[in-house]
Amino acid sequence: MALRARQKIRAPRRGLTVTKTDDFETNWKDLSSSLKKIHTKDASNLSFEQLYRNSYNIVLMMRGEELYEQITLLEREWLEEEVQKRVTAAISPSLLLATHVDVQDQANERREAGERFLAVLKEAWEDHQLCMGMITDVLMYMDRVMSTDHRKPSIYVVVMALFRDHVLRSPIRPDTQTTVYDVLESTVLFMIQLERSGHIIDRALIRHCIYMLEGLYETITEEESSKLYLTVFEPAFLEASRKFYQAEGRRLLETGDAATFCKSATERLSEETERCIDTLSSLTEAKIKDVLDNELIKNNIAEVVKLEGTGARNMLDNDRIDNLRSVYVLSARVDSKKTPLTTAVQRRIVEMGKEINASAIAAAAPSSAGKKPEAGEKKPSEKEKPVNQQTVAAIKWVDDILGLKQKFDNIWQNAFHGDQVMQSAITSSFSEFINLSQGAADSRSSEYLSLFFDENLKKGIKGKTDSEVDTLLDNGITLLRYIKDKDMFEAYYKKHLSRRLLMKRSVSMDAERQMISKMKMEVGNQFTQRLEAMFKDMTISEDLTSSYKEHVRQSSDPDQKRVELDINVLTSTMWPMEIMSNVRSEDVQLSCIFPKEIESVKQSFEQFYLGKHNGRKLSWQASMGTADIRATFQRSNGKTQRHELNVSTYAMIILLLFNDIPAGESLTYTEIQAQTRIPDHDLIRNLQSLAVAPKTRVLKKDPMSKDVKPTDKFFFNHDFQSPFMKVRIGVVSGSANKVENQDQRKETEKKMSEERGASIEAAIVRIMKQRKTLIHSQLMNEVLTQLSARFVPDVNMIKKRIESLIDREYLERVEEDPPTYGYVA
Amino acid sequence: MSASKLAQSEYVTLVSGDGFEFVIPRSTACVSGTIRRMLEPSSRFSEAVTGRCVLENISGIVLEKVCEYFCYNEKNKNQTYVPDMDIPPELCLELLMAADYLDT
Amino acid sequence: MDHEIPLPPPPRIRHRSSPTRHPHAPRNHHRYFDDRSSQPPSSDPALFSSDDIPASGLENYHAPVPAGSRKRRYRGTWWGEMVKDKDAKRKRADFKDKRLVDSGVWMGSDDSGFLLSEGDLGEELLKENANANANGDNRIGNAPGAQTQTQMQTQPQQPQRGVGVFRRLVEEEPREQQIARTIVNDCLERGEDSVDLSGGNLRTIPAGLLLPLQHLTKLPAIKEPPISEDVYSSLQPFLRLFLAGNALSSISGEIFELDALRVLSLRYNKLTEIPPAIRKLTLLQEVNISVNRLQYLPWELLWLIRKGDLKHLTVRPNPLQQIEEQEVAQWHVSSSSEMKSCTYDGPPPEEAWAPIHVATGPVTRYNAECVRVENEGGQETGRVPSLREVSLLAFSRSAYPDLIPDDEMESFPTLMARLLRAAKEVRSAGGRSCSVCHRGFVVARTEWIEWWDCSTYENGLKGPRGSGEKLRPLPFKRLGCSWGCVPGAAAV
Repeated sequence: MALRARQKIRAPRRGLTVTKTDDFETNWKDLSSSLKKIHTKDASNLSFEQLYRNSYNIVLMMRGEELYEQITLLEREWLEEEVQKRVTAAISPSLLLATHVDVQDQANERREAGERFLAVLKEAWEDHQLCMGMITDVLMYMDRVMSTDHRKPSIYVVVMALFRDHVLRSPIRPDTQTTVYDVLESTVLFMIQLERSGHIIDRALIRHCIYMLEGLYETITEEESSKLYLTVFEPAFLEASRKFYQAEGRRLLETGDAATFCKSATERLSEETERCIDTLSSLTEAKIKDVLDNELIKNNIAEVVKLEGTGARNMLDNDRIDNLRSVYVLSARVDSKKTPLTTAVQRRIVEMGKEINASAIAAAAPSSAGKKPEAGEKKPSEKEKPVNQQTVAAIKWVDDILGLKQKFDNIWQNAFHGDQVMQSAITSSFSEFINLSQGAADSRSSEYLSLFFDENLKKGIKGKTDSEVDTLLDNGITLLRYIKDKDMFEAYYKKHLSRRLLMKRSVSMDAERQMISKMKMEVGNQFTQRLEAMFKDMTISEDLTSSYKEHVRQSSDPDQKRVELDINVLTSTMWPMEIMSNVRSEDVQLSCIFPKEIESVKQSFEQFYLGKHNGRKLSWQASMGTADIRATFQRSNGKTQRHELNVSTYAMIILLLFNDIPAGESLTYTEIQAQTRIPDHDLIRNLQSLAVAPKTRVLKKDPMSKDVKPTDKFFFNHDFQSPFMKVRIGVVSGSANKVENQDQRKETEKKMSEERGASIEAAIVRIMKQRKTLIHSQLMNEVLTQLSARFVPDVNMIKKRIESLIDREYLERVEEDPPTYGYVA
Repeated sequence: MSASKLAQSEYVTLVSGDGFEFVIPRSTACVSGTIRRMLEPSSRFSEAVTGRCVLENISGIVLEKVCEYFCYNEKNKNQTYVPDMDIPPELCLELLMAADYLDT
Repeated sequence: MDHEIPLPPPPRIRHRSSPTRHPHAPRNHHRYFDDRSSQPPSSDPALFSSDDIPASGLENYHAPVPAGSRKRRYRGTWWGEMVKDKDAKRKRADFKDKRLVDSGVWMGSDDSGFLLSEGDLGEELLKENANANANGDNRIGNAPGAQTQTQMQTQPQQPQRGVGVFRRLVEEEPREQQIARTIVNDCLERGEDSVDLSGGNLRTIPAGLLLPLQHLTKLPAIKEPPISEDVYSSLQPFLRLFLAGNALSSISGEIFELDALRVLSLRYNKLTEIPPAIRKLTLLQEVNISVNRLQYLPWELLWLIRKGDLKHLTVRPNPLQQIEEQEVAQWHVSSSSEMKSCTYDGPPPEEAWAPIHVATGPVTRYNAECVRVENEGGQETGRVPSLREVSLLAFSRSAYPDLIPDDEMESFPTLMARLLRAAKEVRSAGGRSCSVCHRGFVVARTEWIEWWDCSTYENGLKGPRGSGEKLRPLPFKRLGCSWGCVPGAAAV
């Protein structure tokens, strides 16, 4: 039964199995002659089926390996005998010139020879590919068996490797080492060299030869990375390119024009990209760009930026946005920090900033050039002009900086693509020169900036639209960002603001509030707290005044002539008191003696106010007040002329003295001083404005001189003339906000440093309370970070404060190494 | 030239070893890797030129089944559900042989 | 009722008791049985082969030997005991009793004939083959050198009638297989639906061993009156097969023909793979495949779980692939590639039981010649089987695979021979069907691992997944019949 079944199974093998075992020779003979025909492109008479069946039969005879060997041998012979000879024949001697060909004729000749050679090679390769494709198809069955059962590479891979070894890597003449590939490489590189120097070459032809190198592998496993193109050609190409671009870089630098350099470099970049796409392989694109970046750009960009006359400085000065952009783009390719460009930009900003600083100083002190500076600042009459000039200089300084900022913002936006690194570089440079100390003194930028705001809030924004005001303030705020010592700015701003508020100089309270909210956004809540308190005081005072007026109307005799009182009650800690009572350094200043009428009003208000707020203490700041008085002038012709005079409170007190003396009588300075107890400083200034200033001489002075001496006599001037009914008599050099002179400045700085000391102590105690013990360096760090929003504390100052706190037993030394402090509860 | 013209002809003829001829669409015949290579126009083998493939070692009865398979493949190639194809058990070894030969 | 979770079979004391009872008398027994086997077969040898166990147990001293425990029940001479035993048990079918009164001469051959007719193998040749096996199965005797199955298959070609030949054949069947056959026969006779072949030292499951169990019928319990309600029980066998503690390295397809199988234990063997044909055992309720050499499970096991009957799956310990160490092509749970965060956050109760698809591994593709294909870009994705596949499938379903001996296979063209061998293997493992389109196939064209968490089914249903419970995905290997049958492809 089993036998019967087995016979049945055998059946399918009939007809498929070859019976004769010696058929290999016949089969192979048929096959090999047919394969030769395929080589000679004479396949149309051949039957694929026959060839396939031949090879199939051989494989079934278990002689597949033999077939495989025979095919390899056949192909090898074909390549050696035919193909290699054809290719080497196309190599003309001019291709073997190793040296660089400079002469035009030679170059042309070589190019033509090269093209002939490449064409022959290309054809040989393409023929080989086609024939091998056909042969592989025919031998497919063998391949299948070989690859699965014998783990042999496909016959196609083998014959491709044969081409590599017996054509490309064969010597061009038996007596030389130079191979066909060497000639191919040098020819292609030569062509590329030609193209780089502006000639036109046959790109397609080269591309085909590159295809060949991409289609051949070093190994039979055919990994991507073992392509001949990658293993042999590409390194050579990159090396040649490296040399070329080294030279190119030197050449371009020698032309000395940064713009040209950038333009060429940019062009070279796109040229190489194009070459990779059209002529070589896109595999190389990234690598050749690396070469360019390194050789052409990275090695030269610093020098390009520095180039005298055409470098970055020139571009910045002339707003050469396009050129700057190419410099930026090139720099960005090789260095994410763009160091050379950043440095150049920063240096230029600081230079230009310093110029602005210098010109501000120069503008601020033109008079001091001619006269002695000390005198100029001490004498009020002479001082007026330079002071104004200084204020103007301060405002110009701010405007200049804003202009500079604008310029660099524009460059940053358009040329530097809004780059983050560049932005922070620019910001730090601005901050650098703004905080730069000018000569001996520290930076005046805080004061200048505050003055700029003061000026604009007083006058500048008149007639401007809301959005214009907004922009203006924003610009100012931008500068505020750069200022390190924000506490200094706050001090100045407070001082200037208090004057604006008390003297009612602000154009728009809205703008003031807007300013505060902008500052709050920029610097923080804490910063504007006191400023806001000032505004609050003002509002409360308004209410207080009106309720006081109501109180007076109800309580007193309506017929009685009253002195109307507008009052501002200020919280002393929030306001810069020192600027109100000018001379603080001396002994306790006795308050001035008010005239009777005024004194009664004062007392009445005090009564009213203290009735409302028990336990408070009011101290009167006459120096900051103003008064409207109605004055009657008896002309010599008998007429009377009335004027309403707007004067400072002190001036009002002085003038009221003359009510009590008969006409024609005089008072000496000493008498006035004794009767009013107005501080000398203020008294002199007020008398000057009443008796010396040409348009407001309500008093006459004897002798008529600018200086006020204790022996001078003062008369009421009945002949006072003014075209206006209302006359405003300002106090000389007292009320306007302007640049401080040296003394004031020292005063401010002294005040500042006291305040800073307090801030530092507060910070130290705060930190230590929390940490209990801390190493010195850590404490320093924490203090610095805590305070950096307001100012940059001086390290020595911190040390001193720590010492002082130890003395006062807030802290103690816990350890010496490393120095550590503990908090004493 | 003639090859490229023929490459466009829609049908090819498959001939069995014992002389049976089967005319089937070219695309259908190309389900077989061997026949596809045989008909490859760029190779210019005689089969590609004439559009006639003589398969010496496949009998008519097997080739008929092979052609049936070609059509079955063509018809179902984009189907989600592919029905089974009936193979007479006595033919299965010969068909396997032919499939091996034709690489399909 | 059928879906009741079966209790594990009560431990059989005889496993342990027999070797301890006969620790010192190995050789004697050998000789004794040798002698007896030289006599003409006169009684049911299968039943007596159990006596032999202590002897073989000595060679394998520590292994529990199943059938040996029988011995305890015997008293006096073997023939006398046998009758007594059966009478006492009352479980013996009447035909068995009838057989006993007959002479033993026919029993061996008749018994095998009985097995064959039950097996219904159809093919003449096969029958002959099986006949020979069955003949061999029922002989008593110790096999001095264990013969392999293939050698057995060549036997039918030789002239084989006559006692001498019989003896040789008998000697060639390994002892453990004979014992196994005895146990199976015993179960058949007694209508015992719990078939315990555990600890039997089996290296392979011999052909025809299990197939008869297809036809096992339970015997009604006969009790003395008064007859109460609980005497009546289902005659539908609740088939349980215990193959634990053997040395099996593969499972034959035969086991998958036992479509009534409810419980299957393959614990403690040397299995490297569970064939996908397990899908055919649709009534399986409990599977234990722990302590084997499995690196992955067949997809079909998951299919059985999801179908609903399989509720008790024991797979650990096994050298299963760990998801942390395997490449994953796609995650299906919301949490990222970190398995630590791979926890359950799905809906409560009902679905909390369901297996969760955790991840899918990369797909490996094969060509029509079982050769792995590396690049998969631009490949055809149709589902049409190749002509080779179509022919192979027809081949594997025909009678040919058993007709072509291995040596003749070698004379086919190499590529074909390999495919034919593959077809034979697939056939003997019970066949395959595509996990995507369910078509039967021979050569897998795609293969990938899917990671599913079945922790609710592992070691018996305990409770639904708790929220935030860590997933412990198991690797299930899926096979596809075409390059169109890949993860995410539309199922049919």
